[in-house]
Amino acid sequence: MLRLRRHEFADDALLIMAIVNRTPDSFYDRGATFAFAEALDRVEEVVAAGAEIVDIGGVKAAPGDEVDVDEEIRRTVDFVAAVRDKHPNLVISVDTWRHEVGRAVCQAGADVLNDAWGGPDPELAEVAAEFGAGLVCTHAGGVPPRTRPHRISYDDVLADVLRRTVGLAERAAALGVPAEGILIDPGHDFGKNTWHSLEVTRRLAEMTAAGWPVLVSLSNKDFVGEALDLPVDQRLIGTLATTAVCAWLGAVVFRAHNVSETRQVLDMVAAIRGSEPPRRAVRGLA
Amino acid sequence: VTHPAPDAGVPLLGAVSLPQPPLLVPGLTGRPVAEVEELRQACLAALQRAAAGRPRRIVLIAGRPVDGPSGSRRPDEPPWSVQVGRALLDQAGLSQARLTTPSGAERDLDVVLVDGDTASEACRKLGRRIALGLKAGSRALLVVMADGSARRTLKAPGYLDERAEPFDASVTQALAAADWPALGGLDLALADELLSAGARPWLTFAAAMATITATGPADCSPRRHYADGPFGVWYPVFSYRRA
Repeated sequence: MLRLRRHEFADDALLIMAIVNRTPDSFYDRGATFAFAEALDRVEEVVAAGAEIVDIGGVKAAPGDEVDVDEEIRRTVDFVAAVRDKHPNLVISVDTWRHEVGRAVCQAGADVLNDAWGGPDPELAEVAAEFGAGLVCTHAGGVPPRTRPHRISYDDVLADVLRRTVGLAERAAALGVPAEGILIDPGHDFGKNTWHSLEVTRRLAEMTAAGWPVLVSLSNKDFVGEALDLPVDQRLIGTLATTAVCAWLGAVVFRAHNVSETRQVLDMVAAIRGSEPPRRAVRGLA
Repeated sequence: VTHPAPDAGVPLLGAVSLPQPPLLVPGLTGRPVAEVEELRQACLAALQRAAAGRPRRIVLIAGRPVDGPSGSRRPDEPPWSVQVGRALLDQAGLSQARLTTPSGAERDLDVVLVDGDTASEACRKLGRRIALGLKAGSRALLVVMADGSARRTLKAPGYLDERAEPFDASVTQALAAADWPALGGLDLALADELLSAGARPWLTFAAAMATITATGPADCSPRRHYADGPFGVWYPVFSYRRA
């Protein structure tokens, strides 16, 4: 069972973590939801489309204008409070590596801290423990936040992924983060070239076998673009194919921009797997 | 001291004609499908009306298809007609555990299988034998699993056949009027061409009902609960109760 603060999910649930950027410059939406009102509208939209979790981010992943702690807090904390107020049953995650931000958003009602840069700030897990919040333990290959992979190489990329993510998860549990709220994320494209991201996808079953629920963040990323040689606005189909493969291999949470499409893919995988019945099976049975 | 109910001595309490699509087996549609649930409710209402006097025996008349291009079935698996009949009886609270012999022992349904290649006279003979097996005090519920043509529309399982509608209309009229000679006179060759899985069970049922009503009170107050073909197959649901 997955429990993210007071929210519980069945073992076979496939969950969508919808991306809500409070940034002027993120790669896919390019600032579409930077403004408070637009971001709130986006939350309404993704909830209606079937997302169980929103992941609120105040700093774009790629290098760019510096966003300090104060500015990140300005972008996220009041917004988390507003979402908490309007959507009591929605799981709120905040994408941050900084413990100061983590503490402020947990006070405002966040349920999960998405440590997408692989734990550069060791105090973040302590904040998650303090608030009983969930924690995403990601592989980023040890690179500093907001850097691009440059000539990075691994003897065995999945072994490194497992060593680092499971290590972070075990450390978090030892610090008192509730074990049923800890997820591991292979961190597609973070500290990885396209070959690495494809390999961790292909071998994801080794990760889901590690015993921690697996989150994947695939949406419109460069490894999809490079696999298909397509620009960022044409990666939806590739993203959905990757989503289906990861769901089949046991991933549980899917961080996504395109929620209704992702929901349909996950519902289809659940029907194939047999964990959800078909909505309407009448052919050949009349 | 037990006082027998006023109708304790009757051989037959009531009867129903129910359709037999696999759709009615619980869970087989995946999530509930509105058209199927409406049909199910009609079937349950028919059973509840016909079985209101607590039957001691239930006789299920059900077709068994001859081997055809229907995939591989385990030889011991009951035909859909029996699976659907049992499912509906369970859901109506008439499962075997509720049936008791006069001595109080539990008993199962009496399942009478009618093979898909049975000739019409053999069907009628079987029906008469069922009737003669019901004694005073049997308080039986007779259940026939049967549906009409599966060729009512272009999207029907057997595609459109223009003869389907008049065939189904004549069946429905016979059931509505408790007209046993008409129901027993269905043309089996036409029924087979129209993929009606009900004709032989209906012939058997009609013969049984004709025999019973010839030797006892003839009134059996028919009621129509449903008659429609939402998937291109005709599903009549009727109940009969001793007035």
